[in-house]
Amino acid sequence: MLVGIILTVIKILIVITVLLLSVAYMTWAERKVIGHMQVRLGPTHVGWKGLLQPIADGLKLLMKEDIVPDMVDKPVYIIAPLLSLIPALSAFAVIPFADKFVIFGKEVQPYISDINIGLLYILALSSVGTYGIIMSGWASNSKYALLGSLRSSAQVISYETAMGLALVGPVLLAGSLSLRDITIAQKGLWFIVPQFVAFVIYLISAIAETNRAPFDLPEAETELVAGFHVEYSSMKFALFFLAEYANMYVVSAIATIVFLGGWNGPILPGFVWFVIKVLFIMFFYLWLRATLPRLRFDQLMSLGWKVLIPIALANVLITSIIVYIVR
Amino acid sequence: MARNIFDYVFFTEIMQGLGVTLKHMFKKPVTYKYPFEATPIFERFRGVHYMKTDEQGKPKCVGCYLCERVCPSECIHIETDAGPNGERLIRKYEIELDRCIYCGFCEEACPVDAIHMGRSYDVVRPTRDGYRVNIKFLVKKYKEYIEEGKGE
Repeated sequence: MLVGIILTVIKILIVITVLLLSVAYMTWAERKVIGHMQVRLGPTHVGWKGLLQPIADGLKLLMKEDIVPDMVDKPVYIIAPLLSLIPALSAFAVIPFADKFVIFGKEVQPYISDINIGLLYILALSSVGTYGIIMSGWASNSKYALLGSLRSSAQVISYETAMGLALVGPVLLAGSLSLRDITIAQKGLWFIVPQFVAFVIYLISAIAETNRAPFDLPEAETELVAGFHVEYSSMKFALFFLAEYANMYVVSAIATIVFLGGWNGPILPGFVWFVIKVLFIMFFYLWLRATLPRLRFDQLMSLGWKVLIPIALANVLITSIIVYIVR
Repeated sequence: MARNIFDYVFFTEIMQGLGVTLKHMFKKPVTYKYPFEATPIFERFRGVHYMKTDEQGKPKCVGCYLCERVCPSECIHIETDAGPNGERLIRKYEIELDRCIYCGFCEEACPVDAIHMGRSYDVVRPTRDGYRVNIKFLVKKYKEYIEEGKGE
């Protein structure tokens, strides 16, 4: 029992450390990839190829003065960044990185836990993250922050519907909400093939959900300066930043598990396949950011409600009819 | 123009855009790492002035005031005096580099081929007075240009 708890704590520590490091290096990758796509260099100075840049950035943020504006609602203002980061991190509790394996006659789970409502848990947590955003905008006592947070939350709420509906199709095919079972169900055929429409809807709404370009309306600099985090500085701002990138990882990991077959793949070990797929989707994010211009807000909302949700509903309907007939 | 239904459903335009950015990713960056790497200067670039000298190392300027007259931003200041043998001495020849617009008129107006526009652009000074350069500075610049082969 005690050994089990200690092992779980160790696993949690490993996952969080690796996650935070990869979040930090995502910022490096973003600057590098977008730089090269714009025929620039990106960071080059700190370390080889600028590889120490994220650490330098982190140090800089730590050393900065932590300003709390006068008229803010202090407790809410301080809790908000935590409330947006923690759900993003805790979503990783149920993500299976690789299959179970046996070592020294003992079964090892290379993930923190496997609950039978894994997908539901992640969807629930991703909605909690919105609270952080709304609270930060409201507590900041600034018009721009409030507008940004309202935009962001409207976007997250409306795209979450499409995202949830897109995930229903694969869940129907797998017959389970457990992420591990969904992965195992894709041994023969990845769900991206029978559920391609759902995959596209999921990708679009996932990008909108994480507030990334081309749907990064809360950050529209010309209108809102930086949206919900204008009044934040130093480490509190960094927490929002971390939350955004951690959310990107969560969303990519779910796309990998639900549509791209998770750890399934030939030759290479499962974990490597998982990482490759996640990183590919993360690259796709950056690629899109370098390519597409930002949408107008009403375009964004009408795309979500008038296009994505009806298509996702139709997809659910057709999938469930087919599944019903086949079973 | 009616939107083609195929383009609409399969995001062909977005795909084309993604193709463009992906292609650019493998191109060589055009960036110069400026302080460590010299940026190329065009043939006819006009930088900080210099003053040519004759064989004895004396400035070629004869104090004709033409450059001062032609200067649109009035940043050249000359004062002359008569020497003991009736020759003209240049008491003061100053250029305010912060006011200069680097138009090159002085270079064109000069009848004795004395004042010239050089190639260097990195003159940053902590004070305004630092931008007032005299004839010594200009002659020194000429020597630098000759040494580094940057002149004309």
